[in-house]
Amino acid sequence: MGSSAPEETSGNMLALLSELLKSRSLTLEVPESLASNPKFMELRGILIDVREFLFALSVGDLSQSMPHKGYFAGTIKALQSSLRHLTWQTKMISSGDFTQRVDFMGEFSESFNSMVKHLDEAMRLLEKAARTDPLTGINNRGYFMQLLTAELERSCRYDRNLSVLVIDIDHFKKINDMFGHAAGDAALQSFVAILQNCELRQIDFCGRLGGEEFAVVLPETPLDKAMLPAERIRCMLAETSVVHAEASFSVTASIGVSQYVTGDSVESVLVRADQAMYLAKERGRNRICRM
Amino acid sequence: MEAQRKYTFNWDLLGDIKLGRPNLGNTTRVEVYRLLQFTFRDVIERSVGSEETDRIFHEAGALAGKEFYTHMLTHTTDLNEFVRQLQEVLRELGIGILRVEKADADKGEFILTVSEDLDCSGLPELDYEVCTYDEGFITAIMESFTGKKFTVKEVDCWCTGNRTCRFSAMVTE
Repeated sequence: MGSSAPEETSGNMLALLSELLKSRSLTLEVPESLASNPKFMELRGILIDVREFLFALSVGDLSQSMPHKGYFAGTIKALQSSLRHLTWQTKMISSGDFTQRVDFMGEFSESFNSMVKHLDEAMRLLEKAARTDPLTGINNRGYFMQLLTAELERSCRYDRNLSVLVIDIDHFKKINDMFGHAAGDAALQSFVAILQNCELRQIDFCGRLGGEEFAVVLPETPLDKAMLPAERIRCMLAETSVVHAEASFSVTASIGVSQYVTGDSVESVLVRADQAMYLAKERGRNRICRM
Repeated sequence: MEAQRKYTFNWDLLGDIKLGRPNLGNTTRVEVYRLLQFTFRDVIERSVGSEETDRIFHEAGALAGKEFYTHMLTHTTDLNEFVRQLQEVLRELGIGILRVEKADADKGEFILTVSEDLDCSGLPELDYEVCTYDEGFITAIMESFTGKKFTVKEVDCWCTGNRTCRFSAMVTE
């Protein structure tokens, strides 16, 4: 077999390399004169691998590995690394880690980070909304029960005192009937304002159980001592006028107090406070009973 | 019996920098760090050969990683928190920008990259990875976090043409 002229070999070489860069399909047959050139074949092999690697990247396949070293392959691998890291960051965000920020993708980074920030804010608002009573802004029943469960477990574990107040606004239906539901809402908001200003401690917490019924939990507090904040709440409410539109009226509450005893559940400690509250109603309202 | 040692490492050996460098402060240039490391490499290699030099640097990196974990990170069992802390402190100290490509804690398989690496980013291109010290450092960091034995291998390096150093970290037990 005769050898090709150098010009022909160079021409074939350039044509094959050009094909690797420009064509979708490749010539599988390499002329003998080039196939016997190991340096050319190595270069062609690298370019074929890079083509395949780039194709995988272009269709979102980040799992391929690139066996070659050097600037060309290294630059593409750096892109793959960045995209893999971005994938990991996105997984972290979807698991609730909103601290992730991208800093290596130019304008995309800004948009991505802005999206994560908005997601974070939206999640916080949603979480707050899921825990909060929309009318009064205090804990709703569900979240209050979660907090009480945790606090009761703590009291049980460390054998500590805990008291619960169940508070029901007196004659609430009459307020609604006489002054309208908006006035009823104003009465509830006024009561919550009193709860928030009656010098409860930071460890105390309250919630709206439903309708006109509220509860306050006083950790580290025996029954006797719980009577003091209960009385403060009762007095402050009775002394405060609710002003709504043209109307001004006074509101009172009946309060039942119970204390955690060994073996209590969330339900049993609340039931006793509730029973004490109904006793206060029976005895004439605007008073406190303990059980 | 082991001969009495002169250079047993402890964190206090790093000194009271505030006291000792009231004017120059706590930073120096990357060239100074690299000058130290690469002259050490040269001299040690001449004494004990390339393979042993790499082993020594790996072991020194592991010692540094263990001490670094103890003194610069707060122990946590949460992977995300660990990565966050490590990213922050590596960036703050100008050691590198850590990113995670893969983190499978159950299988004990991790792929980490360090960009703008203190040891190698910007070095001339070579035919081999040079970050043996980093390999040891990351090994000890991963072992301190997980309590398991790790093998860490640099699979791509600035010196082999990559733009970022890429490390595979696998649990070995």
